[in-house]
Amino acid sequence: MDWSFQEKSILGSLVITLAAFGYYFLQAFKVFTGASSAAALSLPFVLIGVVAVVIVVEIVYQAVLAIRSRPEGADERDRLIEAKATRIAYFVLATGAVVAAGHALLSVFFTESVEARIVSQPVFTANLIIFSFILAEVVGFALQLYYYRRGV
Amino acid sequence: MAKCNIRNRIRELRAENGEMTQQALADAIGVTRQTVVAIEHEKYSPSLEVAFRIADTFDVPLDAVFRYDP
Repeated sequence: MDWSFQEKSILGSLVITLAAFGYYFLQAFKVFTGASSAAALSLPFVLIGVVAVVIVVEIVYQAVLAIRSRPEGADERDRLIEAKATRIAYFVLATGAVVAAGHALLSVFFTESVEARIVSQPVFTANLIIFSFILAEVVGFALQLYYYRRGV
Repeated sequence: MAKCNIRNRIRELRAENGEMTQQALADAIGVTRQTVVAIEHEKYSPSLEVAFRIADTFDVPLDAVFRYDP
């Protein structure tokens, strides 16, 4: 299968994002289902580590790709594909933001159980927003690959 | 696949023009080779400007390259 420079670049970003943030959200899931407030304290440091790893791996991958492939500038088709994918990704992000805002606003009605206190913490709301952002990124990357393969 | 109603003769015109490569055509009209491939396979309808550039490259009128097939 003949993959263009743009497709390889997007595929790499998709895999890196899925792997890194898949790990992060697995840790977050353990924290929130484990109902342990103390473990939640480690989450920001896990997130910072994951973001740092993503930046370094992305730089290395894109540099190696640029050296090994023939980089081509984006043309009108690339821009159209990016615009179409971004439009749908925006709706994913907006939906996530509304859900997170709704969660934050309604948390006042939660009961005073331990589980309810943990999911009503700001760190949980922040993770909902981060999850929405990452999901929007993944949807955007996946849609771009779809449009490149299937036509736009 | 996205429905494309624009048919084209780019492949034939490349053959008639000394087996012009997709890369040579892409360089002539200012797009990537992948975009030329997508246009040829009718997976992408180019902008009017690129369509005119293609016709200009082959020195033929626009309707000798593209036709609308509703």
